[in-house]
Formats: sequence, structure tokens, C-alpha cells
Amino acid sequence: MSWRARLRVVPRRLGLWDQPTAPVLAIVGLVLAAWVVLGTGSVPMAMAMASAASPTASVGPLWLCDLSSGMAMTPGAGTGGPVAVALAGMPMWSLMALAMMLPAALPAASHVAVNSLRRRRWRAVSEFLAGYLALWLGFGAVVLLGLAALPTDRAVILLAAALGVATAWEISPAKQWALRRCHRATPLPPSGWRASVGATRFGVFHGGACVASCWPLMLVMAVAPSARLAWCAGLAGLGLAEKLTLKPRRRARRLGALLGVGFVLAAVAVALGI
Amino acid sequence: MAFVRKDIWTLEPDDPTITWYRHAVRVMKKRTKDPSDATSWAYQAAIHGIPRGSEPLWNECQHEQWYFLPWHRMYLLRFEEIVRTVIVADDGPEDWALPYWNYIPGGKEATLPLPFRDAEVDGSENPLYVKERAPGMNSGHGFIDVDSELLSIAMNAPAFVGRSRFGGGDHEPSHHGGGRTGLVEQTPHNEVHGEIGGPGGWMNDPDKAAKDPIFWLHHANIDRLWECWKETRGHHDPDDSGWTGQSFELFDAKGDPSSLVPEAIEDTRVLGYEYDPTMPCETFEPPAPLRPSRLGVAAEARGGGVLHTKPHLVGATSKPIELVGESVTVEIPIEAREAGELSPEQHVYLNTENIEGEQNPGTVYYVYVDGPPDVVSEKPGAHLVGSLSFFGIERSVDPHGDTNPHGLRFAAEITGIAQELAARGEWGGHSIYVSLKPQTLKPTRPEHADELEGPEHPDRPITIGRISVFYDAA
Repeated sequence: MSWRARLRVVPRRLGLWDQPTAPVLAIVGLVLAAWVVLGTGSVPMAMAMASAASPTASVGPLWLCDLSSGMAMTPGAGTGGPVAVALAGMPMWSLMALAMMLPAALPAASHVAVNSLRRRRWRAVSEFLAGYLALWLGFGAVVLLGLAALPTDRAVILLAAALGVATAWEISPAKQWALRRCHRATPLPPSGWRASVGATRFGVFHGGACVASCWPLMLVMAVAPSARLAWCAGLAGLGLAEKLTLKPRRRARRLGALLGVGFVLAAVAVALGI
Repeated sequence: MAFVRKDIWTLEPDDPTITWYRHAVRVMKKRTKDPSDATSWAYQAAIHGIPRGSEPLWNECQHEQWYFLPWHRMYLLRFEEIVRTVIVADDGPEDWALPYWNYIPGGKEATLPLPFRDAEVDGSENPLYVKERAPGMNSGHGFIDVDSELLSIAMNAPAFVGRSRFGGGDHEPSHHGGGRTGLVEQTPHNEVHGEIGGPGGWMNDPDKAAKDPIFWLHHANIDRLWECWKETRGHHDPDDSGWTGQSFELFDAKGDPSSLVPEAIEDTRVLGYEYDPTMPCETFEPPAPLRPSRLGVAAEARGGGVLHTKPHLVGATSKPIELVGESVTVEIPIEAREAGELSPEQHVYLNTENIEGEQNPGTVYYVYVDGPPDVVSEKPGAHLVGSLSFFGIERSVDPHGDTNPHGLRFAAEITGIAQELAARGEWGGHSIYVSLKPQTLKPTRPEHADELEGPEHPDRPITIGRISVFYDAA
């Protein structure tokens, strides 16, 4: 294949080449904005400023793309039970979902836009995203509740466990089943309440498939003890690569091998008491 | 020396082309000891598709996109070389070439060629015979009736690439596609696969199709039609480097992998073969009511084949449609605001989307489009615009091999009908009616009709997610 043909592969698979529609370009903008916020730490910074109880000195790169910091930073979070702590983490989780999981939804969002009446495109894509993100936020609530209940002083053990689960999931047939569902579409009626139901239903269907496919990656990200922004970017990239590949099984095996190496390293660290 | 591929119906049953093909198939079928022998019959068939297992280059067939024609030409070329090597090694003719089965004339020539019908030949098993074919195929009591109007739409397609164009949509290489099926891939290719195989037959399923020795003669005919299409002035292959330079690997006669690109196989004479020059291509008159506007065609010709357009939806069905072997008619309201004024450059397409099902029933559906019943002067069902057939449906949502699933989809151009309705003021704000009517093998005589009835009725269901109408600028 020529370099020109190669150059268009990724934008094409993302739905940005053949027919970039305004709502899909808006999603790209939203994703970039989310990364800017995560990358500069402007949200935790602002939250820290607003909270007189928190020492501003500890606000730095550690806060970036970091669930536990997000949970701890919210004013009043320390006084509630696990539910309050988990709720406090939701803004950060939402931001991470936008940054990490929206790129993988671009091809499906583009499908919705192109297959809707032009006057309904913004609405249909919004309905699709509402369904898609609802699944991710629901999953986030479960993860945050789990995190709030777990001991925080055993970070490396948690990471090793998450990497072990992720490795096993990547090479399992269930993972392939889920990844395949990510490439399916449900019908989109053109107008009226049926159109709204159809777009939302497709969002829920797609979100469900993506959560089923990628949940261990998000788990790894949630318990990563340091260099969190790098974890976020790396795992988001790997998740997207799985979505865009034409050879899903090979890609998943390679990702499984990579996670397996991470698991072994983390397990060694646990054994050595690091 | 140019190898000449001949029409099998012009050959006597004892012609060396046929007897040596039979011999080579028998030899290749016996190559069972080494499962990695790429020159065995089973391995060659598995390159197209196979339900289980994986060896190098299995499950590679390219469908539903613009690599359909070049990949199958390469596949045939390498297969023909392997067969010829077997024949020459056993002192057969050095100029042996694969015959083709031209079912287009209909009648006797559209019944299964005689050498493929009988389970035994000269007192031993006939390697060209396959039990798993549609009722009426092996008896010769059913013939394939390819509609001349649909063929004409395919053979007069103004461009190779695009929605409802000759060769298929611009899409990355992928086993079981997910792109746009070319007109010639649909008619006659998919239809003939379905009608030879019938419910549960080999030719009806991409995982088994190439095990049937008739597969290769059917595909030689499709390859011939590609050559015929290019004979028309203005018809040419894509010049986009994504098509010309895409390499595909297959096994050569020694069983070694070797790569080819579409650019290198466009000219059959360079490859060393031709279709019997004494049998000229059929001529296909363009079907008048469906002819795309002249402006559009000119614009496509300037574009060198690849269209970058901005399609938009103007109407669609609201509920899924289930097909079980009966006729179905659905209404599609055309949204007045989206449809606007229909300009002459506008192309209008009927899209059938999200087609899913567990098994290809072998039934083909003809697609007719009409305006509102009270304003159409012609009899209903006057406008045949395309066909639906479901070759590969089993694997589209549950593919074997390492590839992603998708629902099947087909597009047919309805520009002429839309313009006619628009001229009468019956387009935007009104509805069109789409009828799907089942087609199967035709009996050669009325008394054979019962024999052609499939064992299953109604058919196993096929679900169509939506039928939509799109505008697309040329």
C-alpha cells in the first residue's frame, strides 16, 4: 500500500476521513479538551484552591488523571462513608471517561451521524453518547465503590492483581466476543420517538460492548499507583488500537502479552516487598 | 503461449479440458496426508474460508468491497497453475486452462454442466460431483435465471468504485468485507452462489463454496464479465493507489507463498490467459428508466473512479423487516425538508442495511421500487432496481478467522425513478414503496416444479434492520 493510502487508514477507521460530520468533529474537540484538563491538572488544581482544608503544596503532577486524588480532593469527602467517597470521585472518573473512552466511540458516532436525517444529527449523536457514557459512568460508580472499600496502602498488590485479571481477560474468548459486539450496529429509525429510542439504544449497546471489552484496562488505570497520566494515555491508546485493528485476535494477544509482562513485574515487586 | 479459457457448454463431455480437470481434482483431493500441503484440494478451498482451524492464508476471501474482483482473479490464477502442474506432471495437455460456465443465456446453458451432475463416472466416483447442491441442480431440472435487466444495470455501471458501482466500495482489505458490494458481485455472483447451493448447500456458504469444483467455473465467468465490462468505452479499473498497490499473498504451483497486487493482474494477456476470442461478450442495453443523469456520469468519469461525496439520508423505514421466503412490501416516507428540490446532478440510492441471519436460505429477492399506488400509472412492480442475496451472511456477524463482524448491506441506484416522481411532484413529502420478491431456481419443465421446492419452508429468517434512501452527489 502506498504511503498516501497508509496515511488515511487511522482517520478513516475513526470516521474522520470519508465524511467528517460536525457532531463527530465536536467529539474530537471534547476529547482534546478533556486531555488538556487532565494533562495540566487544572481541575484538581481548581478544586484544591477551593478547598481550604487541602494543602495546596501537594497539588502537582500526582493529581493528574488520578481517581484517588480526585476522591480525596473533593471538599468534605473525608467525612463521609465509602459511598460519599465514591461519589466524590465521579467528576474525575467522568473526565477520564471522556478523554479515554470517547475516541473509541468515534466510528460508531460517525455511523449515527451519517445515518440520521441532517436536521437530527446533533440530537442523534447526543442521544447515542448519552447511552454510551451512561454505561461507562455506571461502571465507574462500581469501580469507585470498590476502591473506597479497598486498603490504599497495598497499591502494588492491587496493581499486580488488576494486571493479572487484565492479562487473563485479554486472551480469553469472552474478550473476543465482547470486542466483536463493538463492531455491530443496531438499526436507526429516521424520525420521531423511535429515532431517539434507536440512537440511545445503540449507545447503550455499544457502551455495553465496550465496557465488557475494556473493563480490566480501566481497572488497571484506577489502581495505578504512580505516573498516572502515562498509564491513562497508554491504556487509552491500547484500547483504541484494539478497536481499530482489522486483526482483533492478534492485537488482543499482543496486548495480553504486554499486560502479562506488567503483571510479572508487579508480582516481583510485591515479592521483593517494594 | 496464451492459455484459453473456454465456455464449458461449447465442449464435449470427453474434451481433454474436462477429463483432465476431473483427473486433477481427483489427485488434489487425495492429497490428504500433509495438512500443510497448500496444493491439496482441501487447502485450496480453505483459502476461501473454513469453519474451524487456521493455517497460513486460510480464510482470506475478499468480499463486499473493491478487492473482490482482483483477489478472486489472483485466487483463480494460482489455482489454475496448481491444477495445470498436476495435469502436466501426469502427461496431460500443457496448454490446459480453466473452463468457465456461462449461465447468462439461461435455459439449458443455465443448468449445471453435464460433467458435474453424476455421482459416478466410468464406474468410479466422480470428483466433480457434490451432493450438497440445491434440489434440481444435479438432476439438471432447474436452471439459474439471472435477470437480464439486473445484469444490464451491473454491466452498464459507469464506474468501478462506489456505492452501487461495478466493482464495489473503497474499503480496506477484509475477509467478509463490511464495505459496499459491487453490482457484479451481487448479480450474478452472489445470486448464482445462492441458487447452486440452495439451503445448506456448499456453494451457498463461503466456508465451503470452493470445495465444490463448479466454484472455479462460476468464478471464471465472473472474471470474464470483468473483462467484458472493461470493453465498454469509458469503463476502467481504479487508479487509486489504495487499490492498485494492495498486495495479497497466495500459494504458487510449488506451494510457496507469493504476492500479487491488483495493478499487476489487470491485463489477462500479461498474465498469459484470455477468454475464448470466438465467444464475444454479450451486449447489454442500458435500462432507460434507471440511467443515471448524464451530468453525474461525466463527473464520475472525471474523478477517475473514486468518489468522495457527502451522502445524506432523506428517508427510511422505522421497523426491522423479516424475510422468510415470502414477498414483502414496505413504505418509505421521503422527508420533504431533507429531499428538497432534486437537482439533476444528484444520485439517489436505496440502501438495505444491517442484514443479519444465521444461515443463507439460498433465496434471492428482487427489489422493486414504486411511487404511491394511486399515482403510478404503470403496473406495480414495474421498476426492478436490484437484488438481495445473502452469500456470506453466516460469517458476517460471526466471522471465522481473525476479523471483525458486520451486518450485510446492499445499495441500488434509483435516480431515474426519483427524478420521474419528482417531475410529477410526488417525491418529497410522499412515500415510495419497496417490494422484495423471492426468486429461486426455475424448472426446465413445469412438471419439475415440485422437485425444486426446498426441504425448508418457510425459509430460515433473515432480518433487515432498515431500508433507507440516500442522496449522494456525484
